[in-house]
Order: sequence, then C-alpha cells, then structure tokens
Amino acid sequence: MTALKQNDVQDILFDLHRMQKKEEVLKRECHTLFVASKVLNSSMDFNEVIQNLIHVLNDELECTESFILMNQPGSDTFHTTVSTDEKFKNLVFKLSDNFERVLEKHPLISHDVREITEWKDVLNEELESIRSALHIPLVGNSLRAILVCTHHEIGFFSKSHQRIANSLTPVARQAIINLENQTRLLEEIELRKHTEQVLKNLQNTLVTTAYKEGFAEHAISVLHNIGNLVTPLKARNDLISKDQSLEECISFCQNFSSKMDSLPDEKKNQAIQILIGKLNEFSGKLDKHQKITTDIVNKIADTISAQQKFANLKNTVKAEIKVIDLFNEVIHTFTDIISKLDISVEMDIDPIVEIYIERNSAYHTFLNLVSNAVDSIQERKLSDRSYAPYIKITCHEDREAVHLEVKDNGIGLEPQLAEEVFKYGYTTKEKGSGFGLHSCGNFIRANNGDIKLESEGPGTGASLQITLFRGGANNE
Amino acid sequence: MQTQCFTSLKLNTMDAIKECVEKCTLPSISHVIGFSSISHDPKEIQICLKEILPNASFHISSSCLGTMTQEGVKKGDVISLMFFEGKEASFGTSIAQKEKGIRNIAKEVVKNSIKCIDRAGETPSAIWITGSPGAEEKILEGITSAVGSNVPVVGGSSGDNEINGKWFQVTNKAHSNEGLAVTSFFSENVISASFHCGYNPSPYKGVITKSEGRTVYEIDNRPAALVYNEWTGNRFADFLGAYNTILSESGLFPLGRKAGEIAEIPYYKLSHPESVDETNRITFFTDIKEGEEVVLMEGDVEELIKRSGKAINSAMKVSELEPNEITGCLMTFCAGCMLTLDFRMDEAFAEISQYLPSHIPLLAGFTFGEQGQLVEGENAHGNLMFSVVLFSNKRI
Repeated sequence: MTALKQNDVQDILFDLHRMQKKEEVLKRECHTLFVASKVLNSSMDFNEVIQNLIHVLNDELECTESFILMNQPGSDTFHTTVSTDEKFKNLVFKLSDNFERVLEKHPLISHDVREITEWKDVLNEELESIRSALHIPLVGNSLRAILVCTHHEIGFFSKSHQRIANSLTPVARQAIINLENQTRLLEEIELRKHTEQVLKNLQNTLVTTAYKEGFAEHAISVLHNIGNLVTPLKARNDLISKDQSLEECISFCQNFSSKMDSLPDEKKNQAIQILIGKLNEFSGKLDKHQKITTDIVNKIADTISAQQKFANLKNTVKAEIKVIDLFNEVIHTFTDIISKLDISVEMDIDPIVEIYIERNSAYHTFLNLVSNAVDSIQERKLSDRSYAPYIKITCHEDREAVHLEVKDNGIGLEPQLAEEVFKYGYTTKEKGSGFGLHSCGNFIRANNGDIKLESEGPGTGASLQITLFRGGANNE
Repeated sequence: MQTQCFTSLKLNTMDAIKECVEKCTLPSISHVIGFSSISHDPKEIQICLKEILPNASFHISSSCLGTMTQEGVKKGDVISLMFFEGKEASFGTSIAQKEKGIRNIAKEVVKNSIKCIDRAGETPSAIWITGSPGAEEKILEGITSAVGSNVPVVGGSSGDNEINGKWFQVTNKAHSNEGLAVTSFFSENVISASFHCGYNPSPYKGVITKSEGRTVYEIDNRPAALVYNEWTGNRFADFLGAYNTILSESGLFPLGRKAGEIAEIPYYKLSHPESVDETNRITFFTDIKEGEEVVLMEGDVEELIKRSGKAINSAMKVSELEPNEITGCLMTFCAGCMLTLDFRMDEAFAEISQYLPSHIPLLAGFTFGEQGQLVEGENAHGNLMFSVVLFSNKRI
C-alpha cells in the first residue's frame, strides 16, 4: 500500500475545507432566511419589518450600514425609504446607467463608490468614509427598489456577500410590496375617513340648513297665517271705520245742543231717547267688532305661541278635532269678507267626523284653503261683478280616510298647473307669496294625507281635495 | 459567457490570426485572450487583430515554447486565441509599461481597464493579468489597493524560449516587452479560480537570514546555495561557486513559503531557483524576504502530471461546477513544470482532459511565474504552479 503524500492529504483537507465553507455559507444563508422570516412575521408594521430586515442583513454581511432606495416609475431619482443610520435619511440619488442596470436585475458590487456616477452627487461629509457598496435589485410588479449595503473598506464586498444578500431578496421584496399595499390601504382608509368626515360635515350642514330652512319655513308659515288673519281684521277695521253710527250720534248731539234751549221738554226727552237708541246701536256694533277682533287677535296669539313651541323644539300637541268646528271657526274669521263679496258658503260636513291633528296648524291649513277660495272669487269679481260666488265645503269619512273638499267658482287655473301650486314659491296671484298651498301640502302630507287641486281651466273655479288617511302622521 | 479557442501553426501572423478567427463560429466576438510563441511579432499581432476584429478588445501574451488548448499541446511557432462572446459579459483591457512605482502603475492599469468600458467603481468578477517577469508581488498589491482583495486575480508572467527578455504583451491599445496587461471580466455567471502546486514539503526547512528582492544570500546564516545543495542531496555541487542557470535542474526542487494552513497543515506558494552565482547566492522567480521560513519542496514527474489535472478539478470544486456548466478555461502552466515534463506533457494534457472534456475551450500558456487565488481566497504569486480560471453559464 502506497503511503499518502502530503499533497494528497492536503487535497482531502482542501475538499473538507471547501465542504466546511459551503456548510458555513448554507448555515449562514439559512440563518439569514430564518431570522428574516421571523422578522417578517414579527409585526404587521411593514415599515418596522423592513427596518429590522436591513438590520439583519447588516449583521449577516458584517457591513457598516444598509439602506433601501426607492424609485417611482418615470422618475429619475431614488429616495431612501429605510436605513440603519440616520445619515442616509433624505438621500436623493439621481438615476444613471449604473442604477438603471441594477434595476434590470444586475446586482452591482462597487469597490469604490467615489467612482460611481450616482454616488458622486450624494457623498457629503457624513458619508465620506464610505468606500465600497453592494447594490441588490428589489424589483417586481411596479416595485423599483435597490438594497444598498456599504462598508468603509475598498473592495469589501464579494460575490459571496452578493449571494447572501440575494437570499434575503425575496423576503425584502415581499416586505416592501406589503408595505406598499399597507401604505395604499392606510391611504385609502384615511381617504375614506376623510370622505366620511366630509360627508358628516355636509350632513350636519344639511341638517342645520334644513333646520334653519324648516324654521324659516315655519316662520314664513306663521307670518303667512298671521297674514291670513290680518286680512279679515283689516276688513273688520274697514267696516268700523266706515260705520256712520258714531258720526250720526255726534251730528245729532251737535244739532240737539244748538237747539236745546228752544226745545220744549217733551222734545228734549224724545231727542235724548233717540240719542240713547243710537248709542246703544253703536255700542252693539262695537261689541260685535270687539268679539271678532278678539277672536282674530287670539288666533294670532295662538299662531305666535305655536311658533314659540317650534322654536323651543317642543312637540306640538295633537288631539281629536271635529272638522266642522274647525271650518266654523274659519268661516267665522272670514265673515266680513264673505259678506262683503256676497259669497254663498255651503258646508256639507258630517258633524261627527274627527281628525287627529295639531289644532292650530289644521286651522291655518283650512284657513288657507278658504282664503285661497275667497281670493279666487275676489279676483273673478273684479271682471265679473254680477256673478254669484260660492264656496262649498264637504267632508265625509270611510274606513280608510277622511275626505275633505273646498270647492269654489272663483278664477280657477289651467289644469296642467294644478300640481305646481304646491311647490314653494309658486303662485298665480299678483301679490301671492307662493307659500300658502306649499305649506298646506307639507302639513297634510306630514299627517299621512294627500292633497290635490283640480280645475277645468280659468273661469271654472277650483276644487281642493284633501284625504287624511287613518293611522297618524308620517313624521311623528 | 460563451468562448471558443483555436490554434494556428502558420508562420505569417496575419494568416495565423485569420485561420483562428475564421474557425470561430460565435455570433460575435467581443474579446480575445491569447498566447503566442515569440516567433510572432507583438506589433504585428496588434495590427492584424485590429484589422480583422476592429470592434473587439484583445490581450495576448507570449508563452514559453508553445501553447496548450483543448486540442493538446502545440510546440514551436504557434498562436492560440480564445474568443469571448459579449452576451451577459463585459471585458475591459488596459496595458502599461512596467516602471518605477509599479504598485501605482498596476492600480491605474486595473482602474483603466474598468473605466474604459464605463464601469468605473464597479468591482469586476475576475482579473486576468500578464506581464513581463518581475515585481509580481507589487503588482498584486497595486491591484488589491484598487479593487480590494475579493477579486480573483489570475494570470502569469510572460514566457519566452530562452529567458532572454523576448517575452511580450499585446492589447488593442498597445504592445510591450516590459509591460503589464490586464483584462477585467464582468459577468453575471460564476467564474471560478484555483491555484495549485504539485509538490510536497520535505523535512528540510530554514529561515532566510539575508536577501534582497529575488536574491537570497543566506539561509540560516549560511550561503543559500550551499544549504540548498545539502537539502537536495548534493544535486547542485557542480553548479556551486560560479554563475550557473539551474532553472531546469531545480524544477523538481523549489522552495516553499507558507501561504496558509488548513487543519494546522500548511500549504505553500513556490519559489523556483533560477541561478546560482559566484558567492553561492540563489536568484529566484519570486521575491523572498528576510525572516521568511522556507521549506524544500519535492516533486516528481508523476505527481506533476497528476497535479495539472487536479488544478482544473480544484477550480471546479471551488464553485461546484459541472463540466456541462463550464464554458471556457484559461490556465497558466508553469514553464518550469512544462520543461520538466518535457515529452510527457501529453500525459499532463490527458490528465487535464479527464476533468475538462475536449469540447470545452481551453487555453494555457507556459509562463515564468503564476498568479492565482489560493484556497482561502488570497491572491498570490508563485512559481512552478498551475493557475486556473473557469468561466461558466451558472448564475451566481
């Protein structure tokens, strides 16, 4: 048997040594991957994950510092996203041929970064100790990133460093993609939050506006209702001012006074009796005026009170109200003008029909309907003094609803405009506000009802029909 | 990185180069590395290659007495060229005169070879160097200062036929008889290197007590040639006391200097005794410093034959390359070993072919000093060694 020469022993040792080195490299790669995968699973904060990953890489490669550069497609600059040292933060590398090649998946080992175009512009006092660098591409999908490891020795990095860094590449790439997705997700969440906040603000604004508008509408409604009440009050005032009774009394007194000395006692007594009669008659008229005026003033007070309730955000109180009572009140309010215009009012109202409703608002709604009928008649009277106006109010009920109709033979309107009259601001009257029927419509609909206007055309009058379904209001 | 290698025995340089180029079937030729006998004029080589391959860079060096390719050993007037395709690889060449301040010259030559292909600052995958014999250690220091110690530096000192300075180096930029030529390789694939010797340490060892550059005055405070003669069993008695070239006779008895150790067993870089003089000083093909321990190494023809193949095998093992992954092999084969093996060089080639099938392009030059990467990755200069670099299609 031939003895082994030292060269042969050395061959075996070299083989063993190579195997040992290979094992070490494999162990190192495994260790790197193991630590990296642990890092990857350690947190949901991928920024932190990447930060930890580059620290792992730094330890494994025994290099000085590491950082990751990101490039947006179309941009010619690279920005530091994470780094093991603060001095690399906010570094901006201008893209040139070398980094372009790295992005084409060709790792770049630089023995001296001072000769690399991209590095020349960023090397400052803080970075002047850097000599060699390893540039590993982290590309895929839209990702354009470069992992950079640095060392202060010239030519520190070798192909084995590149291999170890390469083994970490898939993990780092995944972490960056996760970070990008997470960032995008967070941005989306932020955007949604912002949108929600904007919507919420908008909603609040709308609610406030709606409240203000509601309040304004209610105020308009109240003013309108007061306006409706002022009309008969004004008519009553006209009647009082035009009443001759008082003037007759005064004139009689003046005559009596100038002739009193020459009149016999009997005549004097007669004259005093006549004067007392005239004064009694005037007093009766005044009582009547006072009663009607007081009623109207009370209605105005009720209306103001209702507004105050609304302003205080207190719910208005509903009650079972007889329809006939409401219409009697309304007609009573318009007594003077009805009389003045010689309107024939016919009420065919079932006396037992009751509606569950807020009284004051219902009164004003019906007042509105009658007021419109009166106005319509008044307008027609202007051109046709001889015609005989009428207002016919009917009311009956069935199992489902209470049906009301206020019909007149006033000016009427085009049939196609029948739906328009309930819109806010729409009016056919010269001095109308366009609020009355709009308000009536809102009130009826809010009380689970329906309202419609029918007319066969100008000069044919109109019919306002209300249906109040049983079951209460929609918006209680 | 695809390669092809061809040899021509034609005496006319243009004809010889044309013959090689015409055989090449690569889609394109980006770079050429070659060895030539000194029968071809370096200037002529440069002119011809520039004319035939105007777009390629090239790096040719002289070789002692012949060349070796995948087709075998060719002695006499010969030129062998290895062609490199540029796909997925880049090659930069540079050349400079070897003058005073060789460290800095080497540093600049390497930097220029990188810069000329717009890769400034980028570390090459491997560096191929050839230069006139002398100052190789300083050249390696210069290269290390430029790119660090992690790049394999492989090559050899240009040989001639009679050690009379007719060696040369040629690149597409210049040619020289006292120059240093460099090619920097950039590749995405594995490039593997090994540096091997075929000698065993003997029990004889001593310390260099007086030396200057490559001349050793004393070993253990005694005239170096006397000690060397004693260690070799009086083989050099006839050469003592006068100037004598012992290049051929000392081929199997170089001195070894410890390059490192594995499991406490040292491995060596070799120094080949070139001549003795009147005062029994020995001049070597490497620097030897005072204080260095030297060991008499012993070799035999059988071992050298076997070792030439093992150098290839070792390079394959370093990067776990399979023969089908190897796309080319460059080798510097010590001219001293070649002279020692003489007519048995065919056996050495057969040994190489055992590891490197004949379809794999191989180019070897016979050199007067070898540079390569030792087992622990350190680049070194040695004599009577085999330095190998393998190119592959295996991704890193």
